[in-house]
Amino acid sequence: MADGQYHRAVLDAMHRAGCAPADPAVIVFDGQLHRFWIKDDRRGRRNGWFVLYDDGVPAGVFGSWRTGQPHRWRAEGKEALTPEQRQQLNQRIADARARREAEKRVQHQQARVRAENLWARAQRVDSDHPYLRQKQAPALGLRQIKKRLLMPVRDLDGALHSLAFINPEGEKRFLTDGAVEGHCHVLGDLYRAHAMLLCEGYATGASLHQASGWPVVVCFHRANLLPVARAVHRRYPDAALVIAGDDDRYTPGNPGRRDAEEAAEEVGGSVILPDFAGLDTAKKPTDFNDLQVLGGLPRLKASLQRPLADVWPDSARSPETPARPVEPGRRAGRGLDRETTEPEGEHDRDHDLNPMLIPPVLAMAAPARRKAPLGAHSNLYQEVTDRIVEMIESGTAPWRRPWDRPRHPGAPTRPVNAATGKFYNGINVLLLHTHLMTLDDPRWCGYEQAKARGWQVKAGARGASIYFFKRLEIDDARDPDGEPLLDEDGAPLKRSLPLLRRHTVFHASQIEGIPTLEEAYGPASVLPDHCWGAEDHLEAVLRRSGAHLVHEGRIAYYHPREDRIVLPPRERFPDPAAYYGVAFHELGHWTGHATRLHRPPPTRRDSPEYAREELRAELASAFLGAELGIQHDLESHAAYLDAYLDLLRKDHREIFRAARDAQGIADLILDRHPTWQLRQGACVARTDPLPDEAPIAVGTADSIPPHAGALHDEQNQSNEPNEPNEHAEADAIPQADRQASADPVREKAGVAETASALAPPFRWAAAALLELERSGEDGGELGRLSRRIDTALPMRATPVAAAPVSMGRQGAAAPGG
Amino acid sequence: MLKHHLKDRDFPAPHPLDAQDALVGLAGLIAALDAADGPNVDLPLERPDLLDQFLDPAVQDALPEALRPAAETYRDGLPGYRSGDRKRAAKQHALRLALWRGEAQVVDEADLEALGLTEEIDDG
Repeated sequence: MADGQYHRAVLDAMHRAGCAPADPAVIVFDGQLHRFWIKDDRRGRRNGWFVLYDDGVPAGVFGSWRTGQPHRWRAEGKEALTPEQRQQLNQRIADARARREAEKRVQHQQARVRAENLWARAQRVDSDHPYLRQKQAPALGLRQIKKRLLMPVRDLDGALHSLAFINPEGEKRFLTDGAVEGHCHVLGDLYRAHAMLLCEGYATGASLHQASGWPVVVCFHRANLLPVARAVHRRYPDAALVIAGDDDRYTPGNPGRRDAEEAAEEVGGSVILPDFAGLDTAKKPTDFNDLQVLGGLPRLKASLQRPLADVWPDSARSPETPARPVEPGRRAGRGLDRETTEPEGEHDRDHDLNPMLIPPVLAMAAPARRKAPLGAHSNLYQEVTDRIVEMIESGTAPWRRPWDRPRHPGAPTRPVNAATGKFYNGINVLLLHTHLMTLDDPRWCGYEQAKARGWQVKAGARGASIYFFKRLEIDDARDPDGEPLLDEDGAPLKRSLPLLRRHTVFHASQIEGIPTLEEAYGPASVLPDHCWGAEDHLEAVLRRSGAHLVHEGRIAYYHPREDRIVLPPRERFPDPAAYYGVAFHELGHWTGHATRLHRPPPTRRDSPEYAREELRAELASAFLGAELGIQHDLESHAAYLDAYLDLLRKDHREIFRAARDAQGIADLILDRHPTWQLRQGACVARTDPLPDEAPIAVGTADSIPPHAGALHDEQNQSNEPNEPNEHAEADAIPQADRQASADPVREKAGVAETASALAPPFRWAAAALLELERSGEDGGELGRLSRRIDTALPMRATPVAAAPVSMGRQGAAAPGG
Repeated sequence: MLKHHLKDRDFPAPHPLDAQDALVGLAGLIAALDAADGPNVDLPLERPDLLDQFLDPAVQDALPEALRPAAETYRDGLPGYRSGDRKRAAKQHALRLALWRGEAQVVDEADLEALGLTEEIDDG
């Protein structure tokens, strides 16, 4: 037993190391690991630890978990240690360290559970939270409990490890015992990013993300910059890392700059520091958030422009594509748990139950294949809503990222099924566009579909979830008494139930053997006539929408009562892209007029209807942005995020409706205007389709179109049952119409066809073609639009290639599947 | 164990009656599999995808005698099976399994248009 002398000696050593116990009586020499409350620490914290021995030479090791630094201690005045004693002491210290690490792991695990519980209990963030207001920062991926903000501490797989708490005054604390080192909070999407920013604090990260649009990794404090930088570099070795350091110039040694430079050097990255030149530095600003608060967001943007351009030349846009993770399929961020990691039919073989413990029948009956326990019904609406909410909270809402055209100019922008050629619709467009590879190549495909075509989904590929319905048929329906139910004719009633299903599809880049984009859509060097993108095209679409545009003032808005769009003069916008981004956003609202898509205008800005309309315009802007090459403005719409979250949380079907409506808006603006037409430069209502007797083609044999129905029949004959039907509208053509027009002699003879030969949906298209012929125009957007309609329906002589994978953007005019 | 899963199961909202209708045959089959569960049952099909492959003739041939009545009842209740349209029957079987496993949910007819849901024959 050690006497008081050793007790005092070890206490002195602890004092010198800055980790003396508040209660000296805790010191015991028993070879066990003990934790204690360090003097001057917050009450209740037990960051101190020691292991002390008293056999032979009293010795041991102690330290603080807060600093992480262990200190050895050995009683003085005793004889020098023999080699055996030294070895024994070293072994004991190693054992103590191992025990300490083991205990730490247990504590981390317990903290993870607490973090999960707290995170689940937390509410959405009050956008007027004092800290966010003071920092002028949006709440990206944060939650709130009472007045404290919660910031998740995650690893790069998105797993939650701990929480950071920020009180209204800006004080920050971590969850007790939670693991922080090497973990982070990601703003944006790291996957496939060319470059990314790392910084210390949340407000700094939010400012950087807002100003640059780059993905930002918040490391929480400067000591964590290096561990996180290492982890990010390991995962994304091709990505350029930019450490946005704090310039602690008022602190001796400028530790912020020092640690940023150390991290950058370790991972081959670069460092940027805020420049406060010309600003009031009385409050000793140090970080990029201070720069935003002092100089405004434009100043911050301007200060980032050049250094980021040095790293990633196209720094005006998010530096996305192709920094691929070392482990394909492992992505940062949440919301991925819905996605499978293996091809369908294989992933289900893994299960939670130990197969060794499963009796044969149980194994056969496949309870282990269930992803969700029986009785715990999945709500797919909620599932999608949760995913979108999570993305909004983490700053990666699908409409707040660049929706660009595919690199192949002939490829469609909207996600398309590679096997059937059908375009995805509504919510699936939104969901598939959250996967950035859609920007490169819009093609996706189910596992079985790929297999049926001789393609192979790559092993380990992570699929994406889409949602559609199928009909579950119920033959032999019976009432509760077991009596068969009969229909009106007395026949056994056949009923069907629409079932919403989740299904996994894989991107073209994950499928071996799939035709290349060039094979599917022709040479990339040939720009198809129907491609949009140039500024004059944007202008033409805007002008020819028929919207009444007024350029005045400083605010952009749509005036429903007067049915006009007010935009600030063009010169007030920094560049044409910004102008058109705003203009098309307002054009989205314009489509809500009663004479168009009829979405009643909201009356108050703080009403749910207002947020609902704004969400539709946001989504439509994204859809249009993809099609027209408009850069979506990230900043100006941030104020609505809270309102969107509110909407989505209150109604888990809202995102489905919004996606559907947004697609309607985009379609109407782009090329589907069944109720309006241009007359002498003015947009007037197309009140009636062509009357039956109206001629739809007159003149030479060459100008007489083969009938859509006839052509469709020919195409159908060549299609396999599961093959795509590129011209789904043609299904609506009555059989009699098809037969009436299938006479080749009639077609070649130059006899005028009348509108009665067309199914109603085609009469407006025919009217548009005739309008074009009458006006004598052959160029411009209307001409192209007409040719596009012409090709898609098809009303003219040139049939569209039937092969699904070769379908170009002609098919974009057809409604998706 | 399947038994308690079956016992605890209540079918998905919002159309419990219709969902029950759709699943009654499958529930009967699974109940029969539960009943056959035990160490002494000699089943050669220790495959985790038995239910998925249930309509496979090889699976049917290998079923023990005790399971055959339930299997037959279920098969015959599948639209298309009795008329020989095995493809349709297989799809309907897959839908029932998806509903049973919570991978699908019944939706309102009115929602199909309102929510822009599309019907897919092919998966994908």
